[in-house]
Amino acid sequence: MSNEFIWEFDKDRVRRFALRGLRLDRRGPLDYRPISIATDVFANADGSAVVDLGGTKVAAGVKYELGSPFPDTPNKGAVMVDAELLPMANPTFEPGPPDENAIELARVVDRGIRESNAIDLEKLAVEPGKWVWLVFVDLRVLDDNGNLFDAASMAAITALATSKIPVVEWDGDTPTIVRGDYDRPLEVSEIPLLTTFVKIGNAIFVDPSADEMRAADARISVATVDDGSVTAIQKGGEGAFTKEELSLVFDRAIDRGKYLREIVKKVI
Amino acid sequence: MTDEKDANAQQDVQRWLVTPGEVITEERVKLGPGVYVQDGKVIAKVLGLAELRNGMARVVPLEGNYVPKQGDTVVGIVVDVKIPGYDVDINSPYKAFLPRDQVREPLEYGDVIVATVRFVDEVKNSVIENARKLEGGELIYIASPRVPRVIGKNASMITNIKNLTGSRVIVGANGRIWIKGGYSDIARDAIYKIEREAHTHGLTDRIAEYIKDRISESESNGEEGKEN
Amino acid sequence: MAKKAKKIDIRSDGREFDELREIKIQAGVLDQADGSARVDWGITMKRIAVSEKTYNKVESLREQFYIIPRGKGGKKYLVDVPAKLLDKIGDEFGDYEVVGEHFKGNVAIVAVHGPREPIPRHVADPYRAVLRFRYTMAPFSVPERKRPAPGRREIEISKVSREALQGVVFANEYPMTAIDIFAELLSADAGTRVTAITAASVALADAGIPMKDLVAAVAVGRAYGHLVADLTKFEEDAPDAVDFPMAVVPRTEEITLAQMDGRIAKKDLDELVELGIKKAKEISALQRQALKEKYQRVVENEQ
Repeated sequence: MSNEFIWEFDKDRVRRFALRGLRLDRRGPLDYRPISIATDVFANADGSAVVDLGGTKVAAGVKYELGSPFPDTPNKGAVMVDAELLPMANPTFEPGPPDENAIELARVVDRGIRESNAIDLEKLAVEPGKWVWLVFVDLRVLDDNGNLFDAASMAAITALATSKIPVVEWDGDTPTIVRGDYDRPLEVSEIPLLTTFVKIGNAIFVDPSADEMRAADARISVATVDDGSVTAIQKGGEGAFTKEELSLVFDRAIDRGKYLREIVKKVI
Repeated sequence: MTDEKDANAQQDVQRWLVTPGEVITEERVKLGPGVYVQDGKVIAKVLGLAELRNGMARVVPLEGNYVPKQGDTVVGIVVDVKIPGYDVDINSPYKAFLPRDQVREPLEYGDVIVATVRFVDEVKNSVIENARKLEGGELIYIASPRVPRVIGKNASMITNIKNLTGSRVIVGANGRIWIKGGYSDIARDAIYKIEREAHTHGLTDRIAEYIKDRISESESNGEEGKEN
Repeated sequence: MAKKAKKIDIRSDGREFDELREIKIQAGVLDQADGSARVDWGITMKRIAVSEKTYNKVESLREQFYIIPRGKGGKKYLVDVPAKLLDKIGDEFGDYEVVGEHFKGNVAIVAVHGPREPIPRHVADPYRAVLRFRYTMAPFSVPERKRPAPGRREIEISKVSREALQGVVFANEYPMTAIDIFAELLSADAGTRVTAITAASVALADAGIPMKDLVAAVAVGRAYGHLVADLTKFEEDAPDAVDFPMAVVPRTEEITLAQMDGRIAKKDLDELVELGIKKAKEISALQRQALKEKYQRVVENEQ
């Protein structure tokens, strides 16, 4: 049975602990929960990963399709991220087309990757002006135990970094993809990763658990890359951050991003 | 304690893990919960522990959502305030209703109460009575079928936990458990441990050991383990 | 040519004709669901490196065997061959080297939420729980990316799957509630609906839902002249293919799902039904084992 009504009660408890700078699960403010990542999990995907972040489970799969380039970028391929918050993941998720939360998740993960220039889109042109690779990254959220953003971001970049570009056969000037036959791995020059923080009262904690997400006044996700640059920011929730808090968060995001990057690098 | 241990051991010999559709016995026996009869066979209905004892066959479920039963103690949360009384969430597909005269003080949305199930109708809606508000503390939930293990034979398990940790613990048959004071963290962890190991034997002693170890560990670390 | 005749009697992926693929079932894999299960159902493919001469022979072998050429790998040529087939016809490939292996099959994760208050309320039945089944496929589960929204095929599968399970659930014990089943296929390779139903039974039991029995499902049929159990995609594409997914209540041998595609004589159909029942019983043993193993894991972890 879903324990939605226990959540109000929990919120108070989370807040009381946060007043003392403490978390219910006894983690430090900068501690991540245990993380495990599996790669190459789904045979039909061109790249895949499943991330388990403290019980939150997200599967990512990459599929390469051929398409025409966007008119203003004839020599570039494209990366497209879609996310589905499957109803199985949380008793409050309803079946249907992606709602604002699913769309926000997909777009923020996408921005973190796109703005980092991790993927050279010009290298994805198969026949410039006519055929380019469209790289679909589909995120399927299977289990929501808080902090979908970071789990999704790790899953997406891991799936991309371990993906392979299919072989193309030409019949005259019509290309067909030879499914399951791969030409080369995708070159990924950066590992952009989201780190998410919540603000509860005056406390700021990284990697919010499910009850911390519910108790939070506000949330912020920051994507960083190796050299400490920030490639995406998304603030969520109805509360507000002071500019000092933002600066603190950015510093922590860079550091925590490095921590996550070490974990991801081990499986790539 | 020894009598209980022997009783447990006896029980354990005749208790085994079953899945729906497994045959328990083909003998003519009385039918307890969790089984049905077909073609002269007594068959398990749920995932649980089968028992064949004193001429009765039953399966004690290990999983499942709570369905209110008359006489049960439940820990609930007020989710709606109406004129005649309160709608109370009892961690069940079925709601409970608390008439105003059954609680001493007016309640608000989100208040936690402990009460008794007075009556359950044909569609399993229930009326609860003798409600008391619970302030502060922590609310956890476990699978309601495991609650009897947390209470133990003649309340032995729960009394043990309360005595060793010094915590106040109120266990709802609906799987909700309220804990306050004492080594509440350790009490909570002990209860989760019972939930995980509900299908094993020798649990009472193991839990007592576990709590004692945790307390001495906490004391030697000088941890701020005890809440007041 | 005696050798050729012998080859035809070997199944396209090396299994016996009535042999199931490798099935791995795990119960209780999700935290937020009331019950859950994961089923991996498929075959192990070995990737071998062969000479150019052998590689050129592969095309003719592909007419009757589930072999997939994978292009050049360094100086050699790569071919994917089902592990069991490699054991039987390995000498067809000359001097080969195994360079890798992967699992080719269905991966399904099924979650059960319930019994719970239904939303919208009006679907509630005062006499019994209402089962709802939602079957979805990940876009990356199939070779060509599938759009995320459920299409007509998924909606039909959702319906027949629900109907395969509703009858065994003691729904009258939970009036006015809904039991929601969510099945997600993360990888697909023939037999997706039987994988989903098999997993769903385990998830329902895992959630403590009372049932008469665990429903087990399997696809039987015909391919390349033989009646077979558990078709692969290669077999579904055979010119004489008959695809007959079935769901069975193992104890009573009652059939709760039956769909068929193809053209077949009644005598063969009767034989297929018998085969399906027999295989369903094998699968049912795996389902039970998975549920019991969940508790084994706990015992091991605590010791």
